[in-house]
Amino acid sequence: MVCDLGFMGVWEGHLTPIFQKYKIRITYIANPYFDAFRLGNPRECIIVLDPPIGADPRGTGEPAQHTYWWDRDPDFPRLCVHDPVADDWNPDKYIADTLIPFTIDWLLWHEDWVATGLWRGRGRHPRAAPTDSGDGTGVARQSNGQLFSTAVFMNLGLLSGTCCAYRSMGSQWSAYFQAALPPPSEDLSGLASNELISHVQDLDTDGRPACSMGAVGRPLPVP
Amino acid sequence: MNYSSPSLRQISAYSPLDVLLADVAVRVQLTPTDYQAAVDHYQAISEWLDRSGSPLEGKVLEFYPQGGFSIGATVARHSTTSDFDIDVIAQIDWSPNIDPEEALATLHEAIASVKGTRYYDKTERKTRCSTVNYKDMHLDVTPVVRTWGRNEKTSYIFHSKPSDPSEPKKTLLANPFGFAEWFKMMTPPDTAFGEFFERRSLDYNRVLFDAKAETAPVPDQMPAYRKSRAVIALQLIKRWRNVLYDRLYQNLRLPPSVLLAHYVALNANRTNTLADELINQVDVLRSILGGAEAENRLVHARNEMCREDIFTDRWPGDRLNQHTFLKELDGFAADLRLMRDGGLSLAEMLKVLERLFGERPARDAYEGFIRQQREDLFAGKNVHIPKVGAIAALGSLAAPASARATPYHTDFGDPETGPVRR
Repeated sequence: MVCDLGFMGVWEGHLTPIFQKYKIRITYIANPYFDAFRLGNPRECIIVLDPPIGADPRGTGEPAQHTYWWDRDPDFPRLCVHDPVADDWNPDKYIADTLIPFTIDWLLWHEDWVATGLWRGRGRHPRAAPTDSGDGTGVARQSNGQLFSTAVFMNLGLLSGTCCAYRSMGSQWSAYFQAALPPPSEDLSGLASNELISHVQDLDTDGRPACSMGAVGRPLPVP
Repeated sequence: MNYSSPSLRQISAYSPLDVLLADVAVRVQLTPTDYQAAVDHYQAISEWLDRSGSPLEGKVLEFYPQGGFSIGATVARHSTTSDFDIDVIAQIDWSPNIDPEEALATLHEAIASVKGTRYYDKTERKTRCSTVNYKDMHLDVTPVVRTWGRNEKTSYIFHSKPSDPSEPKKTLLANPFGFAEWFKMMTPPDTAFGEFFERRSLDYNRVLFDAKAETAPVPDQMPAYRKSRAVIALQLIKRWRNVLYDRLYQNLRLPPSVLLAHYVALNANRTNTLADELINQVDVLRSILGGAEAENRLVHARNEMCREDIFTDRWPGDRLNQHTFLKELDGFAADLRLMRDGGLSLAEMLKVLERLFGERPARDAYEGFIRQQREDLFAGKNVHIPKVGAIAALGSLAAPASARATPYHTDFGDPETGPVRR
């Protein structure tokens, strides 16, 4: 363990799934809830420190498969070794018995993917953008039930500093999405990026920039 | 197919490199089915030579394999085709004083016979044998005359090149049978590796049968495939040589297989893994050739069972051939060490294997490795080794005692399409 803050810990260690040795960092937040706010990070975060996975491992322009790579340092995508909808992992399970072997598996299939271009392990990708529930599998909706613009959703995340932890983002903006704030009154799909940001800032944000890695979301009311 | 429990512990300790190298060897050797076909071919030739009306009717005293086939080290001759040389000896009841050309011509006539017979269009005359061409293999039949009072089956072989009258005809003493017996004595398989390699060979044969939708049964056991690490190292060295000379040195004579086999046997089985055995054998070859180079001489080796049987009579021939092979062996050794110690990714490993042993067997061995891991994953049988953070090289077929089951999980991640990244 390289860092122990009581509510969170960081482990670094080596794995050698086949031939290549990797230095791995696992960050685990045991308790994201505080008196008046909640950390916006995911409960667990697995990255490969050395050698970096890289933004374009195959030299074909494709990002690494089965990673959370949006708005992260391109060389250090967060590995996604379990399906958040399934019960592959939850904080009640030992990391050594789950996330570590999951990561060994992930590295095997990643190496195979780099060699062949095929992901031959078990896996699925969400079809759409991050979701209202924060589980990365559904579709963000406005309070009137209409589909939410992906661009708007992502920009809210950028501004709130929770894009690295978009599963928490839905929770953070749940009031906006679901009831408390009015939905956008006009169609935003035609807006340029800076216009969109300006629009969102006018609604409800302090415009706080996101961190490149390990971002901590702004204070949240406890749900 | 799983391994027997007494061998399991050793087999489960094999590294992924050991498994990949063994699987490359499985894919460049005769398959068990082809092996049986080769046996059928040479038995058919034996009967054909002795047929009624043949010039050799009643004169073929023995018919037995020699060379790579007799020691289990046959490999495909070229890098891109499955073309095997099967060498057999026909011991004929002739006088040792027979004219070499007469001996070779009579054998050729006995095989080829007249137009319309079964081997007429398939037979070629060579300087020391006649070659019968089959699909995917050649049968080289060498006529010999037995000598007496020497080691068993020491014989005269004949050399004659009718197309080049300036080349002298020769009668030479040799003992390929004695060499094969000596080689096998020097390279005994250990039980675990022998069982491992036999299983891999038979399993691969089944995969090929399935791919071809053929129904001929593959036996559960085939003792000819219980080989030692040294024999597999020899097969891999021969395969590397064939690929290399096909690619770079088509005009040079190949370093002879019997010479490589001789050196491998002298230094066999002094290591614990296939990768280490291969590296050790290559290092021994480098040392021998390097020693000769340092002394400005050519290597010299002879059959341990027949002093007159010189393995270096036609190669290296000159220093250029010797130096070229030594230089390439140095590169081979460096590549092998890179694979064992270099911490390569699978993609890098695949490239090195393809370069050394040819694209098809390397990629096929790689796919076999992945197939096993994948079958385990989807059958819920995949395992990991906690202490080193590794997979088991043979997956559930032979997992070490320290391995633990990997819980079910599905990799996930961001959609492949998304906003432009910052």
